[in-house]
Amino acid sequence: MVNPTGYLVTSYGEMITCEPRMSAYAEALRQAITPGCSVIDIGAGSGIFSLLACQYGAGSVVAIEPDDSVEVLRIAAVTNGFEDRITVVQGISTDYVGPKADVIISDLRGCLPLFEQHIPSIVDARNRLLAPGGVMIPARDQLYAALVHDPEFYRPCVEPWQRNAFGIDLSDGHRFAVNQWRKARFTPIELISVPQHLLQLDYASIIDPNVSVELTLTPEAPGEAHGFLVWFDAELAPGIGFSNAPGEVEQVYGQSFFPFEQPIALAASDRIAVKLRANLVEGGYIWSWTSSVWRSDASSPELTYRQSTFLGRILSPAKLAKRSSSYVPLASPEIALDRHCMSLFDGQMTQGEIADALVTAFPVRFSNKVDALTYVTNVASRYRDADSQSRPQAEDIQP
Amino acid sequence: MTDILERKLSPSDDAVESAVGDETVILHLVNGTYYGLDPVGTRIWALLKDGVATPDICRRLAEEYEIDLAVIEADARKFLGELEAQGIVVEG
Repeated sequence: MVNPTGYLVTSYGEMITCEPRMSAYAEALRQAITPGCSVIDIGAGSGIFSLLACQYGAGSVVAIEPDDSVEVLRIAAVTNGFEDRITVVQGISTDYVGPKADVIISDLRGCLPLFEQHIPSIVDARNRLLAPGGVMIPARDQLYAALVHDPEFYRPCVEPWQRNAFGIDLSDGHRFAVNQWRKARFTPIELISVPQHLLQLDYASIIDPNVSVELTLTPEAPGEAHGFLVWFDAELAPGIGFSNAPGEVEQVYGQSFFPFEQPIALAASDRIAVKLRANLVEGGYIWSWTSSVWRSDASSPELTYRQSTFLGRILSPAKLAKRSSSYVPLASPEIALDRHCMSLFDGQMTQGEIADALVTAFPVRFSNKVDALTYVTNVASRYRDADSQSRPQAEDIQP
Repeated sequence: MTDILERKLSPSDDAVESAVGDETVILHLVNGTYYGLDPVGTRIWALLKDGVATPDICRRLAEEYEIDLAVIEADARKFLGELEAQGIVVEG
């Protein structure tokens, strides 16, 4: 199925103008390209890496992108005279079947590299699509963390949940507010501990998308910690990279702020031991952070906060029960409608004809053909291409 | 095989929980599976987290719910067996 990223073309524009990110990517690509080599561009977006690869001398480029932004690439390929070298695949790389490439380039990160299907996609591409001796860009990411003091940024964790101007007790919402990480753009001024190296993601060897790390954060001076910040430095190729660290040039990614359940007053001799976990569940990461406050000479932590983005979700056991293997789905009019609609996808009838048939068969549900046609196109759009193979193959650019 | 009620069980580090009213939803982080616990299951889970031994859990539930101990033990064996099979609780 197609999983559009939801990016606007302007978002891709921001990525291209984001420095030093873009120049670093371009230089890493230029160094990796040998005349006539093959390249796969995963998450190609509007195709800047694919176009650059051609400019640097690649013989063939496969640009894989689920989003309709590939239409920009199709046009740009023609405009730049690269249409005979670029093959566009609208889909996701893990579904793609094709020849191995000498260079695989991607940037599937979110605020952090541990984002959605980034790691599984890299692992799959490395194992299936990279030619022996081939080059992966990026090579690795390094994650760092530091304590943060910023009462203003922390305010949404406090207000209106623990105090508000209306005298209403909203404390039940506090739990949800403090169990979410937020995108941030801090400077070194807000950091109150020396940054600690958290972990390395080496894309030449990584297998497991889940991580679990422990670190100890010690304040440089007495103060109040509101949470900790996590960011990454990218190494695209040896000696080529960029940093998202506070104090560096602001990048599109931002940094990730993990709030503590309550602000923690710290003496210089105190420390906070953090166990941070990221688990990929159903295509998204569950982040869990357990923070224990150790006073200077204490033999046990004074307090421990156990937080997780799972706790930030609003869940209903009744709804979750419907996900269990023992649940018996009940027939419903909507299921009957879906079943009938899909039975008409026979490779012969047009969507308009199917809509007409549905108006006749379900007159209560559809009072007019427009509503029925909207429904039919929505059902059809759940599937990549009803008349092609289940795994996308390379298709030539049609200027 | 040792009766599960004779063994020391504790919540797995791979399980995260979220209370919803008097019920609980548990997510196993590694296999990505959700489990819903009813109020009695939630009570057993809370006692497990407090480190209460399983025979004591059964005795407490028998008192709290005024149910015959043998009935509670049978239900607890089944419940804990399922949690253990799913990796939600582990020995130790």
